[in-house]
Amino acid sequence: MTLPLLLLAISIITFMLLNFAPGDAAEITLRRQNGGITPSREAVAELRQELGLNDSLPVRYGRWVSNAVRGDLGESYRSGGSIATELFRRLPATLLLAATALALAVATGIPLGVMAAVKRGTWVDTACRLLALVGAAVPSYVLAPALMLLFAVYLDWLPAIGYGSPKTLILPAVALSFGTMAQLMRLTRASLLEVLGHDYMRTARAKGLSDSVVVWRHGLKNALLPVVTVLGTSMGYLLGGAVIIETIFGWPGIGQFVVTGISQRDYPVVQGFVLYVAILFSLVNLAVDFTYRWLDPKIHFGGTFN
Amino acid sequence: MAERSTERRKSIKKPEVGILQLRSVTLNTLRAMRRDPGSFLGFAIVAVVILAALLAPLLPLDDPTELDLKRKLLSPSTEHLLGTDHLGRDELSRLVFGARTTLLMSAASLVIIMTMASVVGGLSGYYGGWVDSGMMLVVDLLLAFPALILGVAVAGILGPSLINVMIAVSVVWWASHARVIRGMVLSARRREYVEAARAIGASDTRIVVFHISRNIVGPFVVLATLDMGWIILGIAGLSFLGLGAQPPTPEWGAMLNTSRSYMQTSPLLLLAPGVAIFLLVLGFNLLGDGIRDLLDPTTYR
Amino acid sequence: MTWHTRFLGLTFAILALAAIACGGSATATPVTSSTSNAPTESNASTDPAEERVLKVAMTFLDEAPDPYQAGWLAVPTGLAETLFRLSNNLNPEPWLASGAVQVEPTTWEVTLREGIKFHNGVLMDAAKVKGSLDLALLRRPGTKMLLDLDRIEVKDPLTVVIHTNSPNPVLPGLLTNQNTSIADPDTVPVSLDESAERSAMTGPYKLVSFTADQEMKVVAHTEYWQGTPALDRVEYVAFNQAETRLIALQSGDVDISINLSPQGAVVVGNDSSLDIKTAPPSGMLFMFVNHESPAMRDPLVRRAVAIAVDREAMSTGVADGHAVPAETMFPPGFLSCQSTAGYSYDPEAARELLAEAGYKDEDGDGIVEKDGNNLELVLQTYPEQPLLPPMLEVFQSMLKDIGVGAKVQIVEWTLASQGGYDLFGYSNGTTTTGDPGWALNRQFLTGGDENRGNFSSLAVDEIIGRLSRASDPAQRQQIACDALQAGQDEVALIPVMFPNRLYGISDSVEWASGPHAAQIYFIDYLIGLK
Repeated sequence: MTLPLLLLAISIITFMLLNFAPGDAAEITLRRQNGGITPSREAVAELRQELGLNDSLPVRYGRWVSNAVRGDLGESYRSGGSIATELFRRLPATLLLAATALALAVATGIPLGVMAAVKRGTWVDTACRLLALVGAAVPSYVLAPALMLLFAVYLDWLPAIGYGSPKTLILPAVALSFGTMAQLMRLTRASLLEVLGHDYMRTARAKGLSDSVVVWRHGLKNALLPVVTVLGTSMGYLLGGAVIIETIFGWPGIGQFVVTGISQRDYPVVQGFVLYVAILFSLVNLAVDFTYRWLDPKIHFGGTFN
Repeated sequence: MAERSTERRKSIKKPEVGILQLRSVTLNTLRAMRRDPGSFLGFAIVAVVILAALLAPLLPLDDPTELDLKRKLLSPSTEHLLGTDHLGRDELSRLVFGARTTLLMSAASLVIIMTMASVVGGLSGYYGGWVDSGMMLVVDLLLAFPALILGVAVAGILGPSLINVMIAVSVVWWASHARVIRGMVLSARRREYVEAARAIGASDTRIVVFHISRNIVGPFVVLATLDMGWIILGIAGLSFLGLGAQPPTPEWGAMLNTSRSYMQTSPLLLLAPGVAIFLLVLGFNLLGDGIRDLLDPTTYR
Repeated sequence: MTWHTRFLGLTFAILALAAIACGGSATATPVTSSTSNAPTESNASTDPAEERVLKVAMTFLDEAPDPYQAGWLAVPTGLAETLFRLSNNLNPEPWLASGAVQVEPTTWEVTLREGIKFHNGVLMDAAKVKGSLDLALLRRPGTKMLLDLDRIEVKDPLTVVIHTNSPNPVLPGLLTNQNTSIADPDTVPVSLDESAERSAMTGPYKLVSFTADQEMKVVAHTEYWQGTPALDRVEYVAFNQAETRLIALQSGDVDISINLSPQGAVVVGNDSSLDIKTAPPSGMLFMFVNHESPAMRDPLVRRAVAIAVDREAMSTGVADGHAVPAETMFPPGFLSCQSTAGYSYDPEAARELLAEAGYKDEDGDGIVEKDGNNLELVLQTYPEQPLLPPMLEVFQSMLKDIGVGAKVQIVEWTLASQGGYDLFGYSNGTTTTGDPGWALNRQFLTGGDENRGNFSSLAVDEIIGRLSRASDPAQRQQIACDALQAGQDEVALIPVMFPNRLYGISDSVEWASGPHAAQIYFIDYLIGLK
């Protein structure tokens, strides 16, 4: 998978998205500048010519790409502001939320998974697996309002909304991390159990190493490899889930931006957002790939399976 | 895997006694299920919901779209077992009819996803070469976009309607399955029976349809079952954002969306579809796990 | 490197990412420059712990409070003021001006108040006002069209002479428009592309910082002309979901939440530490009729649909009693006419009208048809006004009662101008300038700004034309009534109800006056904390 080719293809798909969108860019822009008054047909035609909207598809695509490469993702239909600037301004909020959720999921999911594997068959194991099943099945848009009501209104332990202080981060991050935590827990448990059953583990035990050493040093190291692979896709899922969580909590990230853009049919925003996130996601996956290789140099990629 | 299939064929193969065959299959399945209460529960949940959805028009339920403003937001009573929603419609019937919509849409998406994934993954895995490289490039491309985000974008641009949400979810989801199926086909292709079949001179189609398919059907079913959970959540999620079912069509995600405003005064309206989605997804997950364990008990449970 | 180091390295990388993002957010630059031009005056050395700070949850904070472009934000938040304002009876009264006289049909002399200081301490005078008005016309084409001015002159330091292009008896009313706010023209950026939110305005509070869709902070203008503001600072946040605004109020994160839903009012009512303040409606919930759709072209069908709406049920059922039924497009009391027949609920008559129009239910499916085609209407609306979707759903069922089928689609508001529907649920203000002519022009006149259903009637146009030439108030009232009646008869649009505006406040808020009858006025210098 060559990255440049991939990015090129991503850009083509994203560009086509806006192409299929209804609405005339020139008319919408003029209407906004006039304060809501319907513009005349001549003015619209003139602006279309000026913006180059009558050019052929490849030409428009080329223009869009060269702009995007220079960091210009166009202007919002609604506000006329630069989309790239807005995305960049809001990105830290979403990254903060997603990263915290990922950290929470890792910090709770993996240890719970290990515990469930080690104590297989006991009530601890059953409880953990139950939690994992629940976490995978509860939609975030049910969990989030429930958490809000419980902790912010009834118990009043945490603020329901806001942005800036760590306290305001807790509820949204927890709501977002639930699903991933469940997934990581199940995966860690399954992976560790499989590893624990392998021959070399028995050999290690036979050598006289204590159980905990066996588990922690040999088992965990190998069990975590599949978990690390999943971290990449988890980040993608979290970025997606952040869209819903941000809407519910009023968290000022890129997810809230795109949902507002969608409800206002601000298609350039949607398009810019998809491109932005796709590139971000590709970079994250690349980072995960490198980390995976780094963690275990025995794995090699590329080519067909033999 | 090859040994397993011959075993199964031996135990059930009584072609002249159709009913008995069905009975032993059922008994075998039930016995296996009972050994594993989790998956039995999953099976039960899924079966109940599917039955309810199919039989909905025949059940003694109120019209889910008939509203009555004077009877809005009522608490549960003998007349309205789950109360009424914000426009006076019976919540229970909306829930049951909502199951129809949700299940129908999810099943349709699943069929589309699995078909596309099978075709692409199958061709890729079987033929390899540039067919494989080309198709996998497309797959990787789609995988570059986080699923929900691309789904939101596609549905947002196509416009709000249940069909568009189905399209969005299908377009976005099939890619990862294509890879998995490709892997399955790849490993199945290398088996001896395939080589044997080729040696006899069987055509490609015959090999794929009869031999390979039979052997990947197990993991395939597991994948499909586990996936229903994600598809249901995805469709409900997009409906929640206002992109899916339009009023007055009852659909669990849309019902969650509208009942958020009444969360504090009539929490049942939020809980009912929320718990319903949760149970259904849980059911499919448990069922999928159970089928997986049934097919390959060597994995530690 | 051992595996633990690698694993720890990965964890560290994740946390570092979070830290960078966190640090990034702390230094996130707002939409415009964050350096504040107006120095925060702290003559009163208020100890931060004793500062009186009000926190408000708004619906939108998407545009910076530019006095000429975003008066909808600048005026209610107490930043900007106009020459005239609307009283609680929705009549224009002096504000920054002290009076106005129409010396000639196209000439008005506006006298200004003395001693008004801008946020930068400079005194307001006629030259500044002229400069500001000129900028308002220049920076927003819509304002230019609305005011239709020829030129503005300075007569003396406290008098401005305004020449209109055609005789305009209601200029003071037009000068209540929020985008004609007065700011010190010397502080407005020269470039038209640059926002003017940092310019020095006259209101009781001045802008400290603004971050789009997130928050806005203002501080008291200690030299405010009406007196010292009761608060030291006000902080605004924005949530476009009514549910989130409600929870923010309940959890104490804000002191006031605007635009609560009727359900929100119920919840607040149950909470003893909170209170609901109701303001009379300023907007009308109605349906545009698409006069170009085949079904709606028939006046009998239009009339049938208009009287098929049970407005009482809508107000009590959909708005939980927090709305007034709308039989015409003006709220009761706004325009007193002797005999303007509004629409009343009469499903029987509606069915008769349909029959008269040739629609009969022959195949017994409950839907009437003509020439073999069922009468199925397409109803569209947008979700941002939470009462509109349920209103349309309920109307769908009311239509079924008279034998008309309907399909509801939740789309976005700009689609109202693009046809493709039969009825479009919408929300608009009709009392904005205090003069009925404003709404009559916008909604009924052929090609009017808000005439999105393309209603066109020569008769109605003629009457409205007469209105713009009349200057005698009694005469104007009569003509307005005639125009309203004419439009009603032809069913230009279908009003449904006027929803009250619901403000949730915590019991620490001191708001003796309560919300103003006009939505555009909210935070003033009197509102404070106990």
